[in-house]
Amino acid sequence: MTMPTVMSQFVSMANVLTELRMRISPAEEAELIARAQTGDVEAFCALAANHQRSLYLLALKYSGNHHDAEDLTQEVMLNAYKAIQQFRGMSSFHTWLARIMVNSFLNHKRKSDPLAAPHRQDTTEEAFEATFYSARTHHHSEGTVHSGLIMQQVIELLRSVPERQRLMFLMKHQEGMTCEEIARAMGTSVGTVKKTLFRVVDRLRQHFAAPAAARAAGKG
Amino acid sequence: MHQCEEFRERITEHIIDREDLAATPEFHHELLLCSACSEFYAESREMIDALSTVDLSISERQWDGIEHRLRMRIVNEAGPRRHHKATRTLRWIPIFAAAAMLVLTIGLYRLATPLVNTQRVAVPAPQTVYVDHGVPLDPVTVDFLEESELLLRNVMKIRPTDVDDLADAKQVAGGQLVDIAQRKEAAADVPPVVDAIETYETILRDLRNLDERSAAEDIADIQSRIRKNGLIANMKAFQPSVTTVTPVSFDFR
Repeated sequence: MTMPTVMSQFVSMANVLTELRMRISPAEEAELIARAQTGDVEAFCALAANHQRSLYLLALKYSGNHHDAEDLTQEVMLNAYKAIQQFRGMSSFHTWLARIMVNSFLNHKRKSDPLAAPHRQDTTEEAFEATFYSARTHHHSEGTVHSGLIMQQVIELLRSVPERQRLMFLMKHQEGMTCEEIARAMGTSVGTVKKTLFRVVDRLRQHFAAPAAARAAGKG
Repeated sequence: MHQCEEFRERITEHIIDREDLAATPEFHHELLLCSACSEFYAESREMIDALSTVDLSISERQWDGIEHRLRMRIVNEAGPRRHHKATRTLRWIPIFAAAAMLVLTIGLYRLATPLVNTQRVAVPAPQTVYVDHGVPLDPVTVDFLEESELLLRNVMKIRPTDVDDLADAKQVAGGQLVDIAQRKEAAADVPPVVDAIETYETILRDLRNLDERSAAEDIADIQSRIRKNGLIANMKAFQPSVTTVTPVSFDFR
């Protein structure tokens, strides 16, 4: 894949993500929050719909399969619904939701994370297969199959990272959050976030560089 | 003076943001200086680029399904919650009725018997205590706060080499995490308590997930966050305070 193609994909993906998150204006969002706080379920569903896509995509990279991604998305939104009365507008709704997401994702890990529960390895592998089976059945183009293979490699790489570090990395890489926003959501310092990001990138780089070098040697 | 690790930490954020560091004079100069850092940049950049090519495109039909199922779960959740609220209000009625009966019985008893013996007044017990229930919390949540305060105090004293203490802290943290959602719900009427418990939850999770390899660094980080968020003081502040009241003696002789 050539660099311009890759760059155009970055741009299009970033645009899509921004668009997904900005389907309603801040004023509309504030009104929906106020209505949701009075118990208006429809208003909360509209709020959830505005954030669910970016949340789902993050959950998909975090968990590695569609089943867990959907489960996680629903869990975050249900927790947000239960806590909506406590939202006081001190931060943006997105930042507030990110904090709930962090709690939900990290609590969820016991159920699905292979690193946290080694005895669930088989189940996780089944889940990963389900992801790719799903990718194959929904899309048939050659490009998507190639993308699926990269996806497999990427998810396997991400699996090697502890869940808290993995989440920090995805919040930066996938969501484009700043280190300050991540620190607030994770309840830690900006310095710790920066150190963690470095550790994750360094670890992924080393894993990623090895097969790449082998491929290059094979070609030579 | 070029410090490889410090420099790499500094540029990582920019690499993830896919910025071209070669175009930034400050970074470009240091990249030219150190071949190892230059290699780190090139490899990291390549890895991030590959991560970004992952196509997660999901069809609109799939999105519709995801949205529909989410909506159903929220609506299902909303139903019982409304019902639960109503039943919670109703649940108080017998308690109020019982309390009213008790007050009435005590009142009648007091009317029937003199309050003070005019011949000889007994000196009140020397250790009378006054319990100030500053915030309306149920006893289980108060116990939870006490237990949390104790754990936090222990963690502040812990050293990464204290293997047994670490194992204990991990075990207690794991146990408290199981109960924490209920405690948050029980304290829902007192938002500052919920805030404190939520911050505490991140500490508990980090404790539970402590890895022996990085314990030194992680413990220092956890202790610093406990200190910074004033968690011990918070846990104490929301517990009922017990004070000794100096008894007043009456002598009618």
